[in-house]
Amino acid sequence: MNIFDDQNMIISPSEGISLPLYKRTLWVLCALVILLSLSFVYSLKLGSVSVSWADVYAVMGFDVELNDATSTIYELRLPRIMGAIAAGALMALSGYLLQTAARNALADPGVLGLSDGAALSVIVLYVVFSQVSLTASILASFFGVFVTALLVLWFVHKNLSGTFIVLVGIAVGAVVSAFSDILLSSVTIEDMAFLMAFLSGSFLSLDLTSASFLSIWMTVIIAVFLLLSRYINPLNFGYQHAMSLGVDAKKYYIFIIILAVFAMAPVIALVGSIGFIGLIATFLAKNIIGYRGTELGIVSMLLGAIMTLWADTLGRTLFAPVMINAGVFIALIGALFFIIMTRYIVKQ
Amino acid sequence: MKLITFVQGALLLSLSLQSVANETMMITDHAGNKVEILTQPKRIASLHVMSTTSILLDVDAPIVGTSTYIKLPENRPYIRGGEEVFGIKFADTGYFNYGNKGSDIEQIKASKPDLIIGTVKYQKKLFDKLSKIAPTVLIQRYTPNIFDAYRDVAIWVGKKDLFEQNYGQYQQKITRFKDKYADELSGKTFIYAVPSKGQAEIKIRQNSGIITQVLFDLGLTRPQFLKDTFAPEDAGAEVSSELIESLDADWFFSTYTSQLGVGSESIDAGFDDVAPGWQFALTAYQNNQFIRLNREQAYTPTFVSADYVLNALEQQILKNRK
Repeated sequence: MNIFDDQNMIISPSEGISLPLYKRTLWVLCALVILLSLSFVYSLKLGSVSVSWADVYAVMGFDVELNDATSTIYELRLPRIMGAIAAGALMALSGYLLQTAARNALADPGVLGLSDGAALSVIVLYVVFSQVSLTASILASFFGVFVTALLVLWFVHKNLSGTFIVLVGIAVGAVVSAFSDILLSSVTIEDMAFLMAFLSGSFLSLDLTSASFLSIWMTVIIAVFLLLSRYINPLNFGYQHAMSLGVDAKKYYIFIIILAVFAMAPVIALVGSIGFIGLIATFLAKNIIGYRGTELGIVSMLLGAIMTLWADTLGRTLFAPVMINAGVFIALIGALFFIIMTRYIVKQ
Repeated sequence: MKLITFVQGALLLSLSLQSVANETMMITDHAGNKVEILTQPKRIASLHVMSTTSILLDVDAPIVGTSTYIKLPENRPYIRGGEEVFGIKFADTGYFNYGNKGSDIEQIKASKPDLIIGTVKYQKKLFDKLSKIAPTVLIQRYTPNIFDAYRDVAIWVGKKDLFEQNYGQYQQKITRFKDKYADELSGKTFIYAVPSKGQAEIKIRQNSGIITQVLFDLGLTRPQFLKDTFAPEDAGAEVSSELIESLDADWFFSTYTSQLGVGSESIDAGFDDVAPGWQFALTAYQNNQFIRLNREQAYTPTFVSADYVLNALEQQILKNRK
């Protein structure tokens, strides 16, 4: 197969996966993978403690006796870099899936109240039990996101797409967020500070175990996404078109919302709420490669990973030793960038 | 022969000194963690400026690094409370700078501490990560008696004797103060509150560091409004400024934040903002029993801050007696 024969190329790694790759998308994917790889390596070098490139290469080679520099990279930087990449990719994919289901570019885990639902569950768990294990917080996050998603779906099940789902999501999110605020006001100052830090969108507390979990989870979610790709792509054309192509649209709309929930829940549990990634990454991806179905999802994930990685890296290095959470950085820089891009597109 | 005996003796002495220096003890910190720490740590990382660093400075413990605030408008790192209370400027210390609330873990690791002291409030989530660097203990900032937390820190850093000596002197001061100013203090109530500017709220600080500790030790009690609204162990909360009249007590304490470059007049300006006419609602103000304290000097859980609060109260009492 000669990929330069034709503008279009269909790659079918297996029967069930639809991954049409246009030349432009291929180049974009290569560029983003290279950019992500370079960002990964460079982020290992950056920090408030100076390390050499030799130390970075030693850690990457896994052939190292840990000294001060290499243990700083391996134990302190590597977990949060891995975590940032995985979390950014998962949140971006979640945003892409929700936008496909809602047929609305504003759909995002934060906008639809799903992040607030996860946060409320974790807060309730902590208020009731005081000591919260990692597993329990992840399960609570899943539960919270599921219940919030079900609540949103229940309100919109007769009108599953468009502006309506976004408006309902905003309303549900506001109510859920209000309950969180009420609960937070009932705990002690110590517990409130702990919960606020817990939910603040920071990679500071990630260790290798939780970062590895997120990375493995990301791989599993990507695999499921690719397996569902032949059903997700038709949904981009709308309910009627998808049905005419033989896809049970209603069933798969719900499937992809569930997949979006599975993508984001562990991120909220381990890192807290990182808003805007789903919106910005997908928006940028659309403007780079157009509306391309599965490719859009993949490109969004790569962009989300790069953005989150740099948000965390800049947050921990720009004003060191003062640390700024990745969530705050993304909100500041990402939102500003989003506004500028939107105005640019409108002008075009 | 004598030389050999001398060398053997010197060797034994050095070994025993080393074993004393390396002696450890098992403690339970305020988060319930059982931690093995050195009895005499030599490099202590402090992760909260006003709660832990100030105590360590008060007992002259060997600090290797500390979290810092940013002093405006100079935009320099500073030890909040430490600079005002002990006159120590961060730039003169040679300490590692761990950033805001000890969040720069790379600097903590680079400082090679043999003990890390943090707070339950800010470092609970990081406990496992910090424990990989050095034995880590967490203190509860708001305990019913602030000196209980202080005593624990003193034990953990091998300064228990110094603490007990200072605490004994403090208790004697309190007893003398109560006797000397019994008319002004006996059976009286107090409230410590600050205006939340721009929010029409007043923040009641019921259990708040050394200020309330000293006042409770002097025998002052809570006014009825606080007894009805908060449990004794509550730290406090914001209340609507419409309740200004309910906040009346025999003594009213408030603080200003000198870190922001403001003075005591900011307290009055703050109350003017949230509760106009507050001067007429508070008996304490009308009786010249409204005391304005510098928060950075008054808040640290140290005996120096306790003296500051006592001195401020004494000055006002003597002024009123004239």
